[in-house]
Amino acid sequence: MENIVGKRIREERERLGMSQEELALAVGLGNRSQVNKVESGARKVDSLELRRFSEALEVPMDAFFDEARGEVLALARGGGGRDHMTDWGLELLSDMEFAEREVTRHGW
Amino acid sequence: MDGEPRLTPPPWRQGEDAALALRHRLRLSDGPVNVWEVIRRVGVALALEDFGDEGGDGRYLNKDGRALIIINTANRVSRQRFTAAHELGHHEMHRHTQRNLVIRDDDVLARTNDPLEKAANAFAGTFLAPAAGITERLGDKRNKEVSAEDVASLMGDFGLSYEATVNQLKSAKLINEPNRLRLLEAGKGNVEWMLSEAGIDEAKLFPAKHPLPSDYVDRVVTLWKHRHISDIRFAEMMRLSTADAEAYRERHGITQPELPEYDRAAAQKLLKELS
Repeated sequence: MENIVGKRIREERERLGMSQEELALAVGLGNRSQVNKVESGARKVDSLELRRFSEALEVPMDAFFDEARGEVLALARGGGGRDHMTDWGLELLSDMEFAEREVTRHGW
Repeated sequence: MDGEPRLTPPPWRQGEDAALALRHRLRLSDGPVNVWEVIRRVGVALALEDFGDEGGDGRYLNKDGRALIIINTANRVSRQRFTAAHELGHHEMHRHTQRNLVIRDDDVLARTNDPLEKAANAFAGTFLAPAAGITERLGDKRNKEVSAEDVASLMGDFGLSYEATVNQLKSAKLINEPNRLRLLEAGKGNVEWMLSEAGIDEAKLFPAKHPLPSDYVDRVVTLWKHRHISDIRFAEMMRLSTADAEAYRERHGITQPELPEYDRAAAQKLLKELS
């Protein structure tokens, strides 16, 4: 499987303007080389670690598996810094997908 | 044709053409339009939320073919409508430029050299107030004969902001640049007064009815009714506090069907059959 999670962690970290060192500290991963390994796909993360990444980077956990979201964010970065309205919209799009999928799946 | 230079129309022309093409496609007259309704008709989800005075005007998002326009309700209604038409312009003209796209519009009225923004602004002006429509309403007045009160009256007709209306008069070639500047100056600090004099309540001009897409809201309600999502998740998905979500359900008479009483004997019988 492609290194989507690592790539997405890097995208979200860069959007926050956070260094690998700072992220390592925030998630309790020891030092920046561990974060570097996660981002490059050389080290896998377990679910507890992913949760800590999610809290430190202020995004829901499923956002790490959503490659399209990464592409959208990469474009939003043009404006500089984290964009609250874009984040809000991405969450809504994600909920819209969920609601449509579940209603269709159950035939409601 | 090979070797021949391609003539690309300037951004403002692209915007105007796209706006008129959409009006034609939707069989709209040259008069005022309900832009919120149009956004829904072209299949774009629309969400309105208060992001505060510094929160920016709006966003256009397109993710995996699903388009969403977000409007900051902290701004005046006329500005919200202009932003909505501007984002609609991005959808009509720019959605095919990339598979996943977000356009961040913090200030749609700021001067810009970005051709995408210029085209979207020309689209918004023409779509909300086409030259033919404002010419008809303005009558024979041109240039210095056009007063700030005329602009206020057109604001009431088309629901555009004062500044956007003046700019649209210039685009429609009804006023020249010196008169555009004169009218902008005349409007400074007077817009509220002129609107009240003309009996125009801006907030009542084509207000958006739903803060979230109605088909989405229907689905969230369905999921909650089937106990597929909790009260807390319902509130989250509706972008409301849990108390407001409860009040919303009460106001709209949304209830969950009673669960059948627990039948111990039937359950034991079923268990026995299964084992």
